[in-house]
Amino acid sequence: MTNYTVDPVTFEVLSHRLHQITREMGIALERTGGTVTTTQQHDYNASLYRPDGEIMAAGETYGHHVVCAGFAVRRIIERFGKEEIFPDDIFLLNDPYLAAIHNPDVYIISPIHYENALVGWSATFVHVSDVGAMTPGGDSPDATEIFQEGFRIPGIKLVERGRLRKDVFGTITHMTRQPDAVALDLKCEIAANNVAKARLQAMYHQYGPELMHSVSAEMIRYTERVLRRRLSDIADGIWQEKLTIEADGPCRLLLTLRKQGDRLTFDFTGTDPQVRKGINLPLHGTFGFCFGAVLYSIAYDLPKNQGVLKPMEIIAPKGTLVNVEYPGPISMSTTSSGFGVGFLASSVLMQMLATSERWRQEIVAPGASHRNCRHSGVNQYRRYTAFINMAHGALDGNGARIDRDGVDSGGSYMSCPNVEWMELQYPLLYLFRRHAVDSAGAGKFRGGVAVESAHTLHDAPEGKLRGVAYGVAGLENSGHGIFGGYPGAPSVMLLREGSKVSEFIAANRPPTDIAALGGQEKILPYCNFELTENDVLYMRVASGGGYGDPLERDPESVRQDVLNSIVSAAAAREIYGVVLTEVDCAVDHEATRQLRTQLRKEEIGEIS
Amino acid sequence: MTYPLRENLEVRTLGDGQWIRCTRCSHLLSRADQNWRAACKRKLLPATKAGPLMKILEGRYVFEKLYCPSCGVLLNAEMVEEKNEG
Repeated sequence: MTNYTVDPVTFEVLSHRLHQITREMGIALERTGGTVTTTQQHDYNASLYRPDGEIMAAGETYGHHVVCAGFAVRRIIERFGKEEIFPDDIFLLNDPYLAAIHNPDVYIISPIHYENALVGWSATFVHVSDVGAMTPGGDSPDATEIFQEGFRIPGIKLVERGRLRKDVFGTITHMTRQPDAVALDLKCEIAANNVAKARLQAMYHQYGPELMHSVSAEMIRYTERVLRRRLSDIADGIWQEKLTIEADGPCRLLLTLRKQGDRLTFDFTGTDPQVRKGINLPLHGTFGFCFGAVLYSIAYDLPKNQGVLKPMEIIAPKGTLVNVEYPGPISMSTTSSGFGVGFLASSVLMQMLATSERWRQEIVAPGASHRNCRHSGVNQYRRYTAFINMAHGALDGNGARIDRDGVDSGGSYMSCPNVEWMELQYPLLYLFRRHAVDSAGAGKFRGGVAVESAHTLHDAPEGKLRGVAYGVAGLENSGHGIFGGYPGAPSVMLLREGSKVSEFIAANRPPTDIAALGGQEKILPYCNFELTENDVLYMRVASGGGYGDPLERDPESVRQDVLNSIVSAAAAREIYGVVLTEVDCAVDHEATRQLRTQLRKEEIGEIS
Repeated sequence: MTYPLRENLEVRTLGDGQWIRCTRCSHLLSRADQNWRAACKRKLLPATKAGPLMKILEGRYVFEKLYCPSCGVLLNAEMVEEKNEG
């Protein structure tokens, strides 16, 4: 195909229009999805790919799925060959040993033809509510190999030349505990891919294949060119980060980033071997999480496409937590080793950016993710359901920056439904959902505050719900401080069995103090558990890490944090060295100066 | 040539090579290819010194703070596993 020289204005217009298609795909998913995970929590991806599977335009979503869906497109091309791929076909793939990250993330992939020529692909994923794994919802803490983690499809034609293959569709939904909900989610993916196809074909009709081909190729070249230039402007160096996940013992992830010229090498040598627990990440997932970290740190303003991957090399030894070998279990990989890799990659990139006068303004204290829980059981309408309690990271506190505090409960890409909506849908009663006092990592600029919540059963016909504890288990989760900033409070999940919550409610006493509720407290590792009458599940998600020395924080900002119940008066004094008057909570500046001097002396002796 | 390494530290080229130095007091911590952390004044504190919600880390982690050995500016603060600290 002839390469046009694309004028800058046309390039900008068409480039943005391609990205707009991915946004419209996302809207289609949200409006037609079958579960809260898709419609409100936005756990999905919607992106466009070139005919060979290279990323053409990434949607506003997780970076790792953008990459993995590209792998999925290539696997479909390899499996079917161009002679078996027809206009209006639609494929399904969810095999984590080929392209997906874990089985519930089901990729729906659509070839897009114009005048009978393959001109691109669209791909979506949503996290369907069940895949027939040993544990409802798919995240299976007891799985020791992939065969226990649900259906695993290496690529199948779900729609053939525009006609839904009802036998195939029915077979897939039949393998799940929630066939109706899964069917709706698969159909919302089909709908979103149909939107992509219609919009891309309209662009081809309007602008012609030659120009469209040139624009999408130039988008990738442009991103690669600018990214390489940015990397070249940064001093070469080596940076390292580690993270320990607790899964029947410590599992250590280690990453060394080498930046040389215009190339980045992410080397995971030294990472622990894979384990018989579903926290192992497939290699393409490791690529994806590194892609996301680069995209969001130094390429966020560029067209989001394959160009981001071009300067990157990944070294991930086989048989480790970041390159699992068959048939290791992977069902909890996204939210454990996956988020772990994302943290490591972000952390080393932040260290790299700190060496650049231009880029140090963009540094954010990195976060190592959080715990989460999925429930399943019969709801108050006597329907079986499986759902995520707190959308991954949606209410995490964000890391602080060089010149400002982290965003309180700012979260990441996903959203979290409000408490009332959750109670309407599921047999739960929330005791509270609020900002957790003293959770933010202290610093000259503090991290964002995390959310803590607690809930108990309410109107549950079976008197119980199943639970699965997943996420990043271990005490190094949550936000890490940067350059003297303190870490955020660990993310935790606690079950209080046999509490007095019913007595509190009957007596009209607000059940807002978890310790006062009594009961037997259990810290939940990766495990299945049951939530029964009078049990209370407490969760605190990740808090943001701080930036710089807390003793350099503006005392007035500390005062505001105390007034806003973000920092306790005790922490204001002991960590920030700020003395507030008891009467009107004003800053006592002289007492503050003296206290800060004293605190420094206590820690470092004669130096100060 | 001078370029930043991180908050309060920079890499500076001197007559005998590149050094990492404190930006507040110009103290030379280490050569650029060596571990500047080893040259810091180090303090290990109870985990709760980073906040009351760190209580859950007690017995497993301690709070490590690194300072410039010359002027005392705080350079790093993180939780480290207690068993690795003897």
